[in-house]
Amino acid sequence: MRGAGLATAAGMGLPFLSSLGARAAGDEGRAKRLIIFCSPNEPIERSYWKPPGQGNEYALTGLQPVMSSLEPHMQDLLLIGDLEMSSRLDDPHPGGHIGIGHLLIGRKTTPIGPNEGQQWGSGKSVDQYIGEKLGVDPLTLGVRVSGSNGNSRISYLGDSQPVTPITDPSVAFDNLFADALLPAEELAALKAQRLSVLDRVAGDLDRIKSRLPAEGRNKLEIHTSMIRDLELKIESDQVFDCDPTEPAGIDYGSNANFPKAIRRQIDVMVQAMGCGITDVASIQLANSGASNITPIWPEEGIDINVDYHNIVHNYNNDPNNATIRSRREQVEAFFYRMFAYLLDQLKAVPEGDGTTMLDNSLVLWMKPIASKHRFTEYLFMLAGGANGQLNTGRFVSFSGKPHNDLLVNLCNMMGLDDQSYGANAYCTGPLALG
Amino acid sequence: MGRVRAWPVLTASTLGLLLSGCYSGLDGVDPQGLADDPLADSSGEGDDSGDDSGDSSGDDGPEASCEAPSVGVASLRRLTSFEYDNTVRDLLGDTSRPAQKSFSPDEQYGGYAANAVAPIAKTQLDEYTSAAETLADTFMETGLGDTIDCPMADTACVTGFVTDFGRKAFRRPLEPAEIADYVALYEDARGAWNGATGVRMVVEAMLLSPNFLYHMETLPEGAAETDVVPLGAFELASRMSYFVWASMPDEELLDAAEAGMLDTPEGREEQIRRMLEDDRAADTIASFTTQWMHLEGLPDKVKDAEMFPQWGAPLAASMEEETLAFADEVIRRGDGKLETLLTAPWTVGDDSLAELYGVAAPEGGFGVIDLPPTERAGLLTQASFLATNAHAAENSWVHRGLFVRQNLLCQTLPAPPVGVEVNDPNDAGRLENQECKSCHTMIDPIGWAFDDYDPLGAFVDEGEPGEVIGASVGQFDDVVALAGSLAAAPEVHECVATQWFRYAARRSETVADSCALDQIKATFAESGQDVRELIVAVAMSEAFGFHKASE
Repeated sequence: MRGAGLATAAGMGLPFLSSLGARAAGDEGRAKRLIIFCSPNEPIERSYWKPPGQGNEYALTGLQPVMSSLEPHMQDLLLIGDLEMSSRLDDPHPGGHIGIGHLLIGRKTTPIGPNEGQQWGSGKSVDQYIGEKLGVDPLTLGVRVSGSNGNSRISYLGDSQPVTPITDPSVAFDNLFADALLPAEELAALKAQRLSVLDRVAGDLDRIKSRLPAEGRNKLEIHTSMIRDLELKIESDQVFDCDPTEPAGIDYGSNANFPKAIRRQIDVMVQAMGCGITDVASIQLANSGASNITPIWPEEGIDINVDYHNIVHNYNNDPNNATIRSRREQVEAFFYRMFAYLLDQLKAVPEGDGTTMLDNSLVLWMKPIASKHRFTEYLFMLAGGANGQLNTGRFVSFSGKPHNDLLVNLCNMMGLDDQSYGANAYCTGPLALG
Repeated sequence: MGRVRAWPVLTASTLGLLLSGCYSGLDGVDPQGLADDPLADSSGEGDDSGDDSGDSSGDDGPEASCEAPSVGVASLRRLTSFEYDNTVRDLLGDTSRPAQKSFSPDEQYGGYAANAVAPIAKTQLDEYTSAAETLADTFMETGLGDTIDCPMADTACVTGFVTDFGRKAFRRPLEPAEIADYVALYEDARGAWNGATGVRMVVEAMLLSPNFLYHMETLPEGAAETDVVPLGAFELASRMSYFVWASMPDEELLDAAEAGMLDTPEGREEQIRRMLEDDRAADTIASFTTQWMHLEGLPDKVKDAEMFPQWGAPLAASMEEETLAFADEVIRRGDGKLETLLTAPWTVGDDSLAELYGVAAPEGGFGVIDLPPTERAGLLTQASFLATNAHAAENSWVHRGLFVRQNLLCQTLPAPPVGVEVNDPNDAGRLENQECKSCHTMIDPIGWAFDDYDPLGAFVDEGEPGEVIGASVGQFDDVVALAGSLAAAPEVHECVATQWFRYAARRSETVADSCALDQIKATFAESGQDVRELIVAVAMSEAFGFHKASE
């Protein structure tokens, strides 16, 4: 049962932008999935993250105390030290935090105003690029990502085309699973009605588009492609062979529930991947500066009535003050614990042949800026077996290499043979990760 | 909070030099309005040109001719969350405010929520879809009775509904082909399910239509992208209503547009003044004030729990309500004057605010309360402003000082250079440090004057009377005096006019807007800075009726 005209939707030769659930041929030899974890602001200085050991490359024998929650996963980790964000070093736009718009793109940002935050990323981010190449629709999640500006987005479909994260686990769950949980007959009617409505909307878009100047026309072209994607998703008749758990209905946007919201978003993400809905996902905690995050979370054993942004600055101003230093360490330890939670969940899902979801996944940990608001001496981490492609349990330093190079490695491990990512000027090819 | 008050007395000449130092050598930054600094110069000869160049960017560009209509480039914008909620309220009678509850934040442009640059994202489409389904369901259950009083199984009946409801939803009459398409949607759905389902789907589709979600301004046939083109009557009506009401046009405005009454200045002004009298004008005053005064972040502000045990969501809500109620009281029921907004020794508050201000509580909730005139003067001494622009336990010279520079004087100061570590929030050393002082001498002395108020906004009198901390707007020795000087400064009058222009246009002004902006400023000045007349002047300006898509 369908409204008139719907039959034409599939036959219009529109770009097949999302083929949900479809897997690109030949999973062998590449990581099954890519997961990006963006922790806010900056890490504490190098001595807090460079693991004990000598030289530029060595096996892990331990982690720094602030990262101790990751010790159970030490053999799942590859710590990558000392990359620089070359595109940011060249970017004239002001502000300490705009590195976030470079992280997954590797290009200078596009300004839309003179001040910090008044910029957008200027190209396709690597998660969207890989998703497109693999024919999967990336899942973009966030928690307490305040604002809608260049300091609050990591994922982009193109220049000044940010992907808005879903920030509420209940909404994310509903988007992914709610329809599939409806009785078949009800779902069929709902789908048919939605398709009819969307088809009318697409018709309105086509009619008005031709009467607009190019700028507006372009926006409506994108709007149309989003509508077509939604139609394809509705038509896909996806069947999940899984039994997802719905997150409890609480106020996930509040500061008090920030830790809960992170865990529930991770749960939703892992379930979405386990159910085969997508193979590419990201989760972004707060925006780059994270001034709206105040760690008053007694249940986490942390109770500091200063916002995270100021905790970082206070420490950088006065690192020898014991109170200030302790606050800084506590918050950083908390964010590493959240990453450990993600790895725990991935490891808890068996995937046949005695492997786990973590073994077959490639996980990237990152922060928008390096210690002291600089753009050199970054820490990145890769985690997971990447389906046998990642040699973990090690630290490796690439002093002075552009971080774009790491984005090439992500492409390669996901089965793409790219040799450059982002602006060529800031890329020297894949890192020799060993 | 004892601290040494050791500011150098800033003279006109030194500050003038420092000014240019603040914005020299900044790549990619176009500082605005720094040439005229009323806080810098008391001689009246500080500006080398003497022309009216303080308010628009790109002043060194060619002067726009005022003979032909001229307007800056504007892009296609989606409704803001506030506009969406008001529009569904007026269209459907639905006051659930779904956008405020569940939509992703708006993108800002030119200092105000605009949704002007980034195109729609998938998450936003999902939000619209989900809201449209819920709104349409609710409308079928509760709102429909007033709108459709004939059988929903009848095509003629529903054709009438599509025509009437569509005119409101799209803010213009539907074309015959559009009516036919929506009736076809209904008929197909009636065939598959029933008539009521068809009507619901019509409502849902209209709520998801680009004609509803965007401020749609089309390019007339034959016009070039770079032409300055007049808006159609219905497009103009929408601009007027979204400016004065932050919502859709009402029936009377649509009728006036249809009858050609907006084609004459008299007809246009009559409608604008009618709308300004309507209670919906309160929405625009609240929306402007919230954004201009940066109140959005107030509920999320963290305050030191030991110093400020009274801080929490209820007090934050009271602070916000105070400022909005005060602005509304002045602009819609009082004398409407900017001077009153900036200097009034009274406010509209409740018992929690009265306690903070050290005065007797009003009877029964919010009411007008008199404040100590030596301590309080209008918006800049209201708790909302003072608490927003402060840290948890400390004041912020930078936030408070920058606000005056950017939002009252329309000066854009650059962000600190890349890699500069921010020092103690209130560090007098910044005035000595070569790298910092060029900008911080513009910011910190103003912010320092605000140290008479703590991070919550209580008066603590840190100042030593008579201290001169800034030259000109005259010199001032406390915030009450500063507020008085600002209220009298032509630069502030012009900046407030510019802010309302940005709010109306949802973008920064350009050189192409200078004729319109000059006219708006002149009208505001003639009215003795009556904000109501400013709103009328913006909506009456020639540029308000024109659109330009591309340079």
